[in-house]
Amino acid sequence: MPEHKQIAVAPLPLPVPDDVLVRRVQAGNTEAFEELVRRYERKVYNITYRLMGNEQDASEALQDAFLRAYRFINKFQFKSSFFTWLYRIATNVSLSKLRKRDRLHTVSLDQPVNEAGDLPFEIPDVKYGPEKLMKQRELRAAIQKSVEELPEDYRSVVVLRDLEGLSNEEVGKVLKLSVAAVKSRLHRGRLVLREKLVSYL
Amino acid sequence: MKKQKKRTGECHDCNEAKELIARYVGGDEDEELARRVLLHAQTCAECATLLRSLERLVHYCSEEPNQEMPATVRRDLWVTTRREPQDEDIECRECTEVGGLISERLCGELDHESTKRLILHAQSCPNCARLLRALMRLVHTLQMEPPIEMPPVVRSELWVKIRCEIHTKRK
Repeated sequence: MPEHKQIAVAPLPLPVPDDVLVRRVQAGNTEAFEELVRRYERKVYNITYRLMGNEQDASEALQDAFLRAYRFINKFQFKSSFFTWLYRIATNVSLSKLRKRDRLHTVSLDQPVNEAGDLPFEIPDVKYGPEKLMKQRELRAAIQKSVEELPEDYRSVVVLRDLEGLSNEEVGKVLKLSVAAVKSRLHRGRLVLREKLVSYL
Repeated sequence: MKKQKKRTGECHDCNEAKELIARYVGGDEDEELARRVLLHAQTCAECATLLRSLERLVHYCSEEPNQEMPATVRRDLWVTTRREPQDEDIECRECTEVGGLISERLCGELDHESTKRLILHAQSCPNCARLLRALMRLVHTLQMEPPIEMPPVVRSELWVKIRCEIHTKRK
């Protein structure tokens, strides 16, 4: 009988849970905070971009959100997940900036310049031909534009639920809403989006 | 609640009857049509009123075109047309209860029984079927939307700010 060689495979280290990292930050460990930033920077950028609609504003909101989280992390009491707390900060920062921007009526230089409204930093996918790629870009631009045009209450719910994939309960925690309110706003938001995107669906 | 159910039932039953009444009053002389309209009007007070008022209106229009519409004709017409909802309203009224299920279905929180009920309803209601299809496509499209890439410059600006903040706090 041939002997089977036992190959020792080292298990992958489990990621340190958010709660543990937060406790480390609260105890003064700044590297733990950097790990939290690495973990959530892309997700938070997506939320701020979806809500703000352009790179510059999204970038500012992203920075503000993480800086606030760092400044107030000692007040985090573990009553919710860290990420719902962080997403709430990001959503509030974005919406507050948005209200200020709407009052000033400024137009960002990052906003799309042509009718098709190309989104910046589109990464072409080789499996699509030029026509399909064009349609994909059009659809993405139309989705972003339609989401931006949604009333604020609906917009944040649609972004967090449909675009960022949070559950109704998580969206409720981020926005401090009941699940019933989340569902109601989500449904209304989707109805508005359906009207706006009717030619693409 | 009871009242609404009864009303909804009547509207559903009368949907076809109203089309027949319109054809009948509009001059279609088909005997079978007339028989069905009159039979239905004997059992349904609302359709009977609608039929009466439309017949009076047609009579008035054809016989006395230059006269002002009598108050009774106008009142009857107003009452019946106001009371009788449009096709879309009828569907919406019937769909009010089931409509809430669409939202639950899209959230993936509908139990087997309710899903069956929704599907059965959608099979007989084109409005709800269209809405359900469009919303399912919308949610799928949104959920398939790829994440927005964070540009390197945005990331580096973020890290500059964070390191600066950490440095200030340490001091």
